Amino acid sequence: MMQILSSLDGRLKAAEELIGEAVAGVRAASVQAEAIGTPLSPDMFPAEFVASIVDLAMPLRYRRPLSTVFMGLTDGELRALLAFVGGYCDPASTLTLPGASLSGAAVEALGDAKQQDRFFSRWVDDPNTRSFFGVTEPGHGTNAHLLSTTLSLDVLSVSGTKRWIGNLTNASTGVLFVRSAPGLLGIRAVLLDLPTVGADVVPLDMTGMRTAGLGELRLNDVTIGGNDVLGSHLPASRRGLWGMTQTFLRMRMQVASMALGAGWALLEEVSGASPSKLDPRSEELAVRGSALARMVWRCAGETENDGVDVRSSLCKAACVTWATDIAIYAGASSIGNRALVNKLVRDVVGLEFMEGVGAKQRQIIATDWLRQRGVRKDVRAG
Amino acid sequence: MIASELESLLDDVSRHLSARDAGASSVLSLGTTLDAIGDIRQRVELCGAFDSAQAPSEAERRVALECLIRIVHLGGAEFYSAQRTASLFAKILRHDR
Repeated sequence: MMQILSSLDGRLKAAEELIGEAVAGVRAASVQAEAIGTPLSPDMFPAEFVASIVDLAMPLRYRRPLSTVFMGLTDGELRALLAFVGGYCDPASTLTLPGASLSGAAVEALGDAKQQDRFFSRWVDDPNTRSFFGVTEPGHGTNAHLLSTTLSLDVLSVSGTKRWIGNLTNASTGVLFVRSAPGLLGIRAVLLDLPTVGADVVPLDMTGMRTAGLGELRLNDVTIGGNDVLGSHLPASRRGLWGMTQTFLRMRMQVASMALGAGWALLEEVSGASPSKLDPRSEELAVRGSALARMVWRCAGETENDGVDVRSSLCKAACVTWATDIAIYAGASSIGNRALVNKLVRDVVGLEFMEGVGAKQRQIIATDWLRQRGVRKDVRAG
Repeated sequence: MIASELESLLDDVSRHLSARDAGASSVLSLGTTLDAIGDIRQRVELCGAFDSAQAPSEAERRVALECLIRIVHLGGAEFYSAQRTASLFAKILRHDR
């Protein structure tokens, strides 16, 4: 069914078989979960898959032994594989799985030894713990210049509103980016446990990604502890925004892989509708998808820090564009009214907003390309 | 009518972007934003065929769906979580008119 993986790399054969057995059940349950408005149980996914997602979001010292299914892969390769599989099964529900997720990357970048131990020990004690990553705000998204949720360092309290926060409705802990002073150096990150006095979680009714637990977090003078403020041991330039950027860079490659998985699922649905004859449009999309899969797999394997360079922008922009093209093709086709296709089309549309929109990625790609060639030394991505 | 609903949604997105940054989103320049709005606007015009056809063809549905997705991506997450966006997706994906 999913031979795209083993055709990329022979080491992926066992993972392909594991997921191949589970995918139909996950998808059927996902469609049902969306219809009745409940999150999908992690038990629907293979246990090895969920355990690897939890462990990979933590530093090595907190991880359990890796499943034999995934042995031999680097962290970057495994992250790309898990994101592809998640997108292939159900991108929205994958985002609600347990784990430190984006907050894990932020705490790794910004937390001191004690903070890291306190944060990651949660998953050692209870691997089913869910987390949120609070950056996006109404009106200006992830624009750091306009970030307006405030941290008062005098009385140690936070106030403001975060919106479109994935897994928020299920999370019991996470990282919140806040402003303690004007300017980019005034951005800080704090640990926040939920529920807590003054913090209201409001579920959002979305067009797509409806099972992703997206919510709005309203904070009204929420008290935090001094040891909840991350990055105090770091130079001022690395206390807040730097950690946010590092997190987005790491996750960008995973969004690319997730888009690839979701697009591949849609392509199979369309092709399955007329297996004897692949029409020219399906064929073109399949050829593009195969090329993208090779590009993502190569980048995931080559980049030491999980794709922290311009290649992650290239992969994200190209894969989301491709998945969107397939969503349009599949949605408009004769199978567009099937529940699974309908859901995947709406979910794929939401991938554009994750870890930087396409316009932002294209600016990064162009800036890098022009700089490398010395065409423009003054050009900067917005 | 799909075309008029898409036009209305594009109108809302344009006003939203104008109110926010005097015509440009935080990522796009004013020129790029105008280009995107113009590009979508001419696609909306094509969607009139979707409304007039007895049984919309696959190509007509494709134009309408692409148009809707472009509007939502231009408008941002605010429009991805809007009820009217969900309603338009339902109409196009279920082939209702």
